[in-house]
Order: sequence, then structure tokens, then C-alpha cells
Amino acid sequence: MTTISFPDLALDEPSALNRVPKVTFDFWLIKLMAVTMGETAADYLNVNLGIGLTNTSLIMTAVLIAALVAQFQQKRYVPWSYWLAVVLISVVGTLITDNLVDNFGVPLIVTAVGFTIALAATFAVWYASERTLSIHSIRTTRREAWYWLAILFTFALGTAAGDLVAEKFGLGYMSTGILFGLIIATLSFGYFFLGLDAILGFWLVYILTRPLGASFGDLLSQDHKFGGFGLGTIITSAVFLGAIVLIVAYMSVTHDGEEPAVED
Amino acid sequence: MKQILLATALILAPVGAFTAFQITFIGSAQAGAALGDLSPMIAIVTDVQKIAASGDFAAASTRITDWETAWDASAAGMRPLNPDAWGKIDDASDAALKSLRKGTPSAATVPPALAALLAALNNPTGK
Repeated sequence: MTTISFPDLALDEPSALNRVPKVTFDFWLIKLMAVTMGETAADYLNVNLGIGLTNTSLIMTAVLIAALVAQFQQKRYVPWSYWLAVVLISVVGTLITDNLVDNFGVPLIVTAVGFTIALAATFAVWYASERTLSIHSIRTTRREAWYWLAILFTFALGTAAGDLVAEKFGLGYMSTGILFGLIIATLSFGYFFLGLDAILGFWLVYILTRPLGASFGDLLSQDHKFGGFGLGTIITSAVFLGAIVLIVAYMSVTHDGEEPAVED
Repeated sequence: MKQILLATALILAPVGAFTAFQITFIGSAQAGAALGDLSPMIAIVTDVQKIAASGDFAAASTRITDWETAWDASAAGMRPLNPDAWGKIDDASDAALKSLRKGTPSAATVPPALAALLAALNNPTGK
């Protein structure tokens, strides 16, 4: 048996690697598709499993916990386990919002405000405990736990905000998509040209890609008579899943999402 | 703090522009707009009603899933056409689904719930 050594990776010190990916173009592309998949998959499971919203939620939460256990054990960024966790968080985040609205009758405005507070509290405690919110130095299990908790809340908040805009203001998916696309564009402009803080900008765009992805998925899946492409939810989900698998395979080969953890 | 203000401004600018555009060019003249052709969905609910009238609530419950699937699948496209009318049908739909799925369905609860759903579908804008 041959022992291979990677002196530059310092294997006896697992904290040397950032456990989550670098934020690149393909990061956003796959995130956008993962959120759409999450929404259509949640709807599909809820309607087609025929076991009710509560049971669907419990089962998917169990699957998510298993995926997160696998992700935490990697101790570094491994594309398949990271993105599997993101897709499942997207499914569970959608189910949580649906549960609050359908089973507990909580109005969308209350869910949106509630998740904003939960997310702000997560960042506050994360910062108090780690003295940084950097996504480039997720090198301990505790920091990774903060990261995933924040991600769960961004998905739940993004779902509630998107539904709220669509329902209260009666905007179609095309208008909703344009609105959230514009906000993402100005935030990007702010980051590149006006000195908007990278971490603040990242989390804001992370929330907003949720409703943008949902609008994009509706555009593809809705019938022609509503101005959509008429692909239906099953084909749309399958196309996105296929694209996600391809990009994750590409990422696994190129390793271009990996980065060493920075000191802070 | 400066960062929060910058982020707020960057979010509010497109929201303001978008809202102004909507009000100026599109307006909120959606009240009373039609939801489009509902006849395929009405056919499913009528079918559920027939099955339920025969007393086979299990079969009716299976068949109403076809309604639920069709209704949910069209939601993103149909709801914006007239959110109020859509909401009324959706509430009637929830009540009908509940009557067949929660507890023991009975002749006292199922037929009125299905009739209310059909009434909402046949007259979505309440005119």
C-alpha cells in the first residue's frame, strides 16, 4: 500500500481547506437551478407521494439530515455532497413555508418577517461566536453549522418573499422574475463598482436567487396559454437535474470551486 | 451602517422603478379579469361529484387528486390573471380536498363542499 502525501494540504490539520465552494459563475448557475428543482420537486413529492404535506416534510427532513451528516464528514468541499445538501435544503425550505401557510395558517407576511428575524439572529450569533461571517474561512464544524443554518433560513425567506410578491401584488412569474433579476443586477453593480461589502452582497443575492429561480422554473413549466414554454414540472425538473449533475461532474473534475481557507 | 444603507438603496432603486413602470404602463386593472378556459377542470370536479354521489368516497378521493394536480400545475400562470377570483376557487378547493381526506368523509360534508367548488369554478369572478 502506497501512502500518498499532500504536503501543501496539511492533512493533519483539516481546517486548512474551506469546506464550502468559492463563489463563481457556475456557483450561481447551479444555485439557480437547484432552487428551481427544489420548488418543483417539493410540489411533485407533496402531490404524488399521496402521504400528505406533514409526512412529506418529515421524510424529506430526515433525508436532508442524512445528507448534511455526509457533508459535515467531508471536512472539505466535495461538489456532490455540497450540492446534494443545497438541493435538499431547497426542498425542505419550501416545505417549511408551505407547512406554516397551509397547516398552521400563518400569513405570508408574518412568515417573511419571521424568517428575516431568524436570519438576522443567526448572523448576529454567528458573528458573536466567530468574529467573522466570512464564507472563505468555513474550516470548523461549528462555522459550517452556522453556514448551513443561514442557508436554510435564506431559502425559507426567499420562498416567502417570492410568494408574497406574487400573491399580494398579483405579479405573474415573468414580472416577478424581471423584478428580482433587476434587484440582483443593481446589487451586483454595487459590489463591482460601489464597494458593496462582499459578504452582505453574497447573502442578499443568495436570498433573491430563490424567487428568481422559481420564476424561471414557472416560465419553463407553465402552459403556453399562460405564456410559458409548456414543458410541465416533470420535464423541467428532469432537465434541471440533468444540468446540475453535469455541472457538478464538471466541478468535480476541474476542482475550480475549491479554495484554501483564509486566515481571519 | 453605510453598507446597510447602500444595500437598501440598491434594492429600493429597481423596486421603485419597477413599481412606477407597473403603475404607469400596466395599471392594476386586473379586477374582474377572466381566469381563462376552466372547462377541463370543471369536467374533473363534475366527475368527482358523480363518484361521490354513488357513495364511493375512496374512489372520489383518488379522482380529486387529478383536480389537485391540474389546479396546482396551473397556479403560477393563472393566479396573476385575477388573484381574488383565483383565491376564492383555491379556498373552495382546499375545503373540498379536506372533506374527502380528513377523518371519515360523509354525505353530509362531501357533496356541499364539491358543489361549492363547482359554483366557484362556474362563476370565478362572482358576477
